[in-house]
Amino acid sequence: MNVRTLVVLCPDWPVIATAASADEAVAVIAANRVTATSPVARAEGVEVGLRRRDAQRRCPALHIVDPDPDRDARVFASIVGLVDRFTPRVELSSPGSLAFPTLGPSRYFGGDDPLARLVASEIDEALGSSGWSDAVGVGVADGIFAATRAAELAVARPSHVSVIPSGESATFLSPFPVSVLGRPELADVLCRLGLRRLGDFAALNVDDVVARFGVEGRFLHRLARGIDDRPSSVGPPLRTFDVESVIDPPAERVDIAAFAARSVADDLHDRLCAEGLACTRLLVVVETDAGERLERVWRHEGALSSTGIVDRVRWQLDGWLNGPSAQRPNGGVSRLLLVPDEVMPARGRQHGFWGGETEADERAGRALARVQGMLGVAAVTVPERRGGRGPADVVVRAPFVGIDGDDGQGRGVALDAPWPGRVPSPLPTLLPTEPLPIQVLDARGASVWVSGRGTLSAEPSMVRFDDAARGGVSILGWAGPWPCDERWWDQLTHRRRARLQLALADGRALLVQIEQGSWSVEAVYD
Amino acid sequence: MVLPAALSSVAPPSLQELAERIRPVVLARQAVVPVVEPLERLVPDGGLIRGSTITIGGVGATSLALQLSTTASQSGSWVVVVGLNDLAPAAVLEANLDAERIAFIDPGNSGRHVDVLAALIGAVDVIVLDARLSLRPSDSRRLASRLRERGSILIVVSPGGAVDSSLSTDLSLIVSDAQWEGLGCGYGHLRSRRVRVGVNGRGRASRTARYELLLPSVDARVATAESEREDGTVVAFSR
Repeated sequence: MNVRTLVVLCPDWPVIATAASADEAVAVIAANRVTATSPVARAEGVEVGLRRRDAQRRCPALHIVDPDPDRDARVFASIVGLVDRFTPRVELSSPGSLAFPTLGPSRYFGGDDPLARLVASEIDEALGSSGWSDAVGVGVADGIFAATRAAELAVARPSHVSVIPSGESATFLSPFPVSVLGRPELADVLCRLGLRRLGDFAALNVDDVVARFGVEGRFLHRLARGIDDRPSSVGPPLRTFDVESVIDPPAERVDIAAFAARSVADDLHDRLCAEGLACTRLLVVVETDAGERLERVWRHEGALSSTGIVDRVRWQLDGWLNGPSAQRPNGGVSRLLLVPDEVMPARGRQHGFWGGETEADERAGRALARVQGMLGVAAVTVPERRGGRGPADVVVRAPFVGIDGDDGQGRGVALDAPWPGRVPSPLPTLLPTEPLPIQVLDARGASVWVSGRGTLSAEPSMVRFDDAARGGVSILGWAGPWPCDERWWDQLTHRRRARLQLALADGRALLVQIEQGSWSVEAVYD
Repeated sequence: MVLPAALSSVAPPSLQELAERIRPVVLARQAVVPVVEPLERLVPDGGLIRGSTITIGGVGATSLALQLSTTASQSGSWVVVVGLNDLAPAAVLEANLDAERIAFIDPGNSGRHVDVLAALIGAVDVIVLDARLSLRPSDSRRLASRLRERGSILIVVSPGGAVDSSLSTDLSLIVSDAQWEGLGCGYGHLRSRRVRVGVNGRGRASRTARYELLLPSVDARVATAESEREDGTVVAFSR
């Protein structure tokens, strides 16, 4: 059965949350791809999905921000607080979007349209006070999927409201491209079958869709037909699975409370798994020792994994404990209650086709999460391909964010872009953590330097390390100089240097660089 | 709790019987994690024995450690590097380790690296440890027994330096006599490196031998260095 739903959507939320001003060109870039942009950046041609370099080429003044879901969630708590005044049943899916069933509120406020206008003007006013007017859309339709599409359209409208009359969701959805279903693999197949619009897909026979695309296909087919995306088998759990954790002494900091949440989340996940169930909507209740209480409903399109649950709890705590001072609690978090509000039969996660997750991955993920609890989140890093010329730029260390099943994209993406002038393979294995000054000398013992035209003043024959009092090490072979003039368009990050590869008599090989007249070891081939 | 009469009448098995019953058919230390083909001769049983500690020292130790864990990573094992903050992630991926199953941990100067190791042992298959993070002999013994019990492999790397002899190791590899190829005076670039690896093992890994390898070889992997005689037969360096 379809539930009349109102969706509030701020598509630029990751940018708004950075507290950037609205007349600035800002883009959030994750794993070298633009994930969110400000309107000014969009006007300059910066689009979601663009590579960092292309985005900078289109808009040289672009201000680049790293993604931070915690920050997004923390700032979004203030918007949720506004909507809380209309209904107690706010459902959050991700920072930047929330939903609630309109049944009660719209009767009170005189219909869907007045309610949507009221919500939109309230939020627009709040955002407008910080310069971000016209950044919100409110959509009302049958079911959350159609309402989200309506909200997307509403952002551009002057009233910021789009209400799809009851029963017309299917007609409203039919002209949308199949890519809005959010499954690129499926959209690709459908396009090749000649089914470019949701209407075309919806016109297929259900049996045929199930035969070809399985359970997932049926779910998406229901979406396309404007039927509420909750499968009919979803419902309140037959018996209670509530898990509770009493934190003693009360946790004053988010990370301590989140650590406690981890074991509860695992517990809940295991208990649901044992029954063959998965949680799609979760009520998180947080209480403090001063008697304050905050409840939030979190919803997920698929099934919430245990790391997913912990993330939601952390976002909620972060928004409360570090939010605006008027809403901040007086005590520490003393009790945590997780109530699975809606469950559905777990269809199992079958990821093998597009990159698998095994038991070993889950075990390692848990151990790494434990280490993060010991040393801090930043202490555990994973490689992320970025692309660049120097050995330090090609792959960087990015914080480990836990294994959420559907969050593995971007990490292993091979970047096929050519980088003229890059350091040739094999790459050096060690990058000194602090600059290691060195002297490069010619046969007469004079310092070697590189001219502005990129030529060496003399053949290098010996290096001397600054820390060692003893004499230098002679050079067996060398190559270079390889001049490198990077980011000349940006005063702050502009670097101009020349590299030399050296093979030393003691068997070591170094990549050294000269920058502003002084030599240093950039990397060691060990 | 009240048990049904039929259940409670069954005598609980003695501890010894239980231990007999749940004893694994294959002991953890008999299992071996494979390594790339050119390195098979270096390690006993042609692979990394689960539960063992391996120390690697000398110029080229980092490359050798990465190459030893390549096959494990490719076949689904996790590789976690503790310390070695100067390790270049680009070189790790170039050595063909799976980017999805590797993590770096920086214990900083918290002094908690022993706790970190204890948390990792059993959860990940290959742990690469920086030799500069010192272990007390008591910690080292405790970790070694935990390793044997859980079947993880600890690779202790000291880039460029000698290996601490106080550590109880099953196999120690020393890389020496590094000679780079491909670099002239003002032309070319580093392409491959010829090294000698001295192997010294105890217990099951008991052996003393030397091998000559290309580390890295021209394709940034590892290969057996072959010195060709006049008659065309290939001689591998060994003692």
